[in-house]
Amino acid sequence: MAGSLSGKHVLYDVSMIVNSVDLSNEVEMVTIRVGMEPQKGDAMGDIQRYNFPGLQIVTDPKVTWYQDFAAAKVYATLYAAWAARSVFNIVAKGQSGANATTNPAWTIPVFVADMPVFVGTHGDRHMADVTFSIAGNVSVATS
Amino acid sequence: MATYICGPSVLRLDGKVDTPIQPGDAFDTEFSEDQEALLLASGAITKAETPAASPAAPFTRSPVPAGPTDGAEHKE
Repeated sequence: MAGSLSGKHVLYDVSMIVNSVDLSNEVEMVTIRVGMEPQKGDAMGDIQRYNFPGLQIVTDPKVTWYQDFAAAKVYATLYAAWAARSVFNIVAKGQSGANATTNPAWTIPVFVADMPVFVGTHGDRHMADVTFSIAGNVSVATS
Repeated sequence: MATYICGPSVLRLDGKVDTPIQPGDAFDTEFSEDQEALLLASGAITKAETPAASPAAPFTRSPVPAGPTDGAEHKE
C-alpha cells in the first residue's frame, strides 16, 4: 500500500511574533514544547510505581535567531524587553498563514530569560540563542 | 487612540489591526503603556507627528474707506 503524504510538511514558514514585531524571517530554529508534571500515584499493595497527571507544563521556549542589531530587529526588540524587565507575548505558528485548526497560533506570555549579546567564533554566522521564560497561561487560537 | 508609523519590521497587531502593518505605514491603534514603551524603545514604531496648530491670525484693521474730498460732489 502506498504511503500517504497527507498532513506531512516541511518546516520552513514558522511565524514568530515578539511583542507584535514579526521576527519570523530571522528565525533559524524554534522549540516550543509542552509536558505534564507526573505525580506519584502508587500506594501500599502496589508492586509497581506509577503516576497520575499533575500540572501542565509549557517548557521555556527557545529560539535561534540570526543576530541583527538594526532597529526593530532581533537585538533591539529583545534588549528593550530585557532592559525594561517586561512581560510580553510571543505568538508562534507553524505557518505564516491564517489561524486554523491545521495552523494553531500559540500565544505565550514570556520574559527574556537568557539572550546573548555577542556569542560566536571567528568566521561563524552570528546567531542569537534566546530562551524565554513562561510568565502566564498560554492560549491557542485556531481561528 | 494614537497614530504611529511602523518601523523597519512588519507589525502584526492581531485583534487590533486585521492586516499586517508594513514598514513605513501609518496606523491608528491603542497600545498599553508598557507595549508602547517597548515598541518605541526598539524602533518598531514611532509616533506620528501631530500637525502643529496654526497660529491665530493677527488682528488687522480693515482699511478705512477714503472719505469725501473737500469740495467734492457728495455721492451715496
